[in-house]
Amino acid sequence: MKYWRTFLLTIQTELQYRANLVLWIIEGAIAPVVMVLAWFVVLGNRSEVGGYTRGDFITYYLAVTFGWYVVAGTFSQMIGRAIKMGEMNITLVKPYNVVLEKMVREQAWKFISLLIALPILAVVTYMFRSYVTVSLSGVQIFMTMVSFALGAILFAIIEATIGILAFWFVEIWPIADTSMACMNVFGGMLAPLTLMPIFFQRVAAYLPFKYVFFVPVSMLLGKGDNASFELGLQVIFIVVCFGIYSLIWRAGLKRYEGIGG
Amino acid sequence: MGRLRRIFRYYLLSLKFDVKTLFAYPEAFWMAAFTQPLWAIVQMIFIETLYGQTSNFLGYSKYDSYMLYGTYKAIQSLAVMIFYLRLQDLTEEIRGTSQWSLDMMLLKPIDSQLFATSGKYWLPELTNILVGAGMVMYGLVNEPRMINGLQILAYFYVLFLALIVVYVLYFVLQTLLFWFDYLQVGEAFWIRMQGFGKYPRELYHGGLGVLVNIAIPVTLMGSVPVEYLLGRIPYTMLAMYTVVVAALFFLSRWFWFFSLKRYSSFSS
Repeated sequence: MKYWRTFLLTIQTELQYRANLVLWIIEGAIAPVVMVLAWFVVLGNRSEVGGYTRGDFITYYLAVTFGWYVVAGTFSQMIGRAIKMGEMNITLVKPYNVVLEKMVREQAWKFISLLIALPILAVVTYMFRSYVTVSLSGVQIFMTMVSFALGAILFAIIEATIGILAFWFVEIWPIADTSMACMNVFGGMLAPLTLMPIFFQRVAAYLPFKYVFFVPVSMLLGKGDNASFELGLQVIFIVVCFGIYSLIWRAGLKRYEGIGG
Repeated sequence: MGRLRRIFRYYLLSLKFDVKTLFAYPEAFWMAAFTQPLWAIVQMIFIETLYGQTSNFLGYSKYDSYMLYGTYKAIQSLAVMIFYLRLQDLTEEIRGTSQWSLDMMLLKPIDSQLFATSGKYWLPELTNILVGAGMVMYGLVNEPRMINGLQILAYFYVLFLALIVVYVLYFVLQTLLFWFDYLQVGEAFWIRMQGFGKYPRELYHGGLGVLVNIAIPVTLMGSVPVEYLLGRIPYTMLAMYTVVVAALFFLSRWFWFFSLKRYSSFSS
């Protein structure tokens, strides 16, 4: 209930700055549009490149762009700031987790953004209706939704882990930046992983980033080789990453010296 | 002449101060210096991915694309190094939430635009400039060709124009704060708009083409200078680019002074 209240309060705050939200969505759409244009040039007269048709490229980048509002976010910096500025002092003595609070605030922002983005998504899909074809069975739709949810959990854990590294580092933005670069390359945000040089595909298999975006989007496109196996791997990565997060959190708390707050 | 000397002295003293700060906190410099070129690596991977599927991308070979991106990276990083910090702070100065109030800046005996938007350097960008220059060299070495002095001159002249475009773009976005209560998205929008400059100008058609090739010519950051270096564009086009960039600069300056009239100070 307490987090639900935080969620509602953040929604109220964000609604005060609607122009800002709309501009964020336009800003977020620029890079995928350029990517799609680039791949269209590469396609030329060919019907497909590496198994991706024009429709697949549009659907892929649409899914990555709008999936971002479901899966991703940028709350590691907020967690880091709470630790650095001593804001955490208040929450440590209350039945209230600062990491969860920052996560909930981010979800509220994303929720509002997604609501604003949906009509844009509908218009774009309508404009490219001759290209965009998603034909999934009921089971595949269910698996895709589960995969997106697992991707969101995995992403949240990675972000939270980066955030709590502020127990050791004064600035965590270089780590967050590095993680985002990895998400672009190994997570398939930059380009479908199967089109990348083979070295990156091999490395990506051993890192969690692939399971945040690429796996759910591939399922949406009906390109997941073995969906239940991929879901299993997502769960394994969640468990492993959460274990690492817990260890860092406990060690960090022992080291923490609250100033201010 | 005395005015110019004062401006030069202002930039020199600011640079000295930032270098001293850098030596006082070297960790921040090294962390940024090592992580920021990561985005260049990300784009290099994208170039390799694209050229894994084709050998010619809008008339650009793989090594041409390295030159294009290297040029883009160098000029973007130069703009960030010179203008980013002051322009980033501007939003908070206008809103009155910064330690530095805009009132103080307006009262100094120096041009308000110049003082409010430049004179604080983000030195870790030096590594990105070097990475960009390295990529240009890599492209040139791997695909050698004849380049004359005029082509090199045109290349650097277009880079100078590109620097003004990048500055004007962020400057206008931040000046919008005089008109909106809250606009957090300025910086991200600036970076994304520059992203159009990473690819050949022929990639953009219709309204988007007019926007990024002529109205706000961000393609001056990469595609256009490289095409001058390779002798692919007539020199007469330079006149058009000069006129457009000059017009943009004077329009942005007019917008700044026009917006200043709207500024209402509170506490300083």
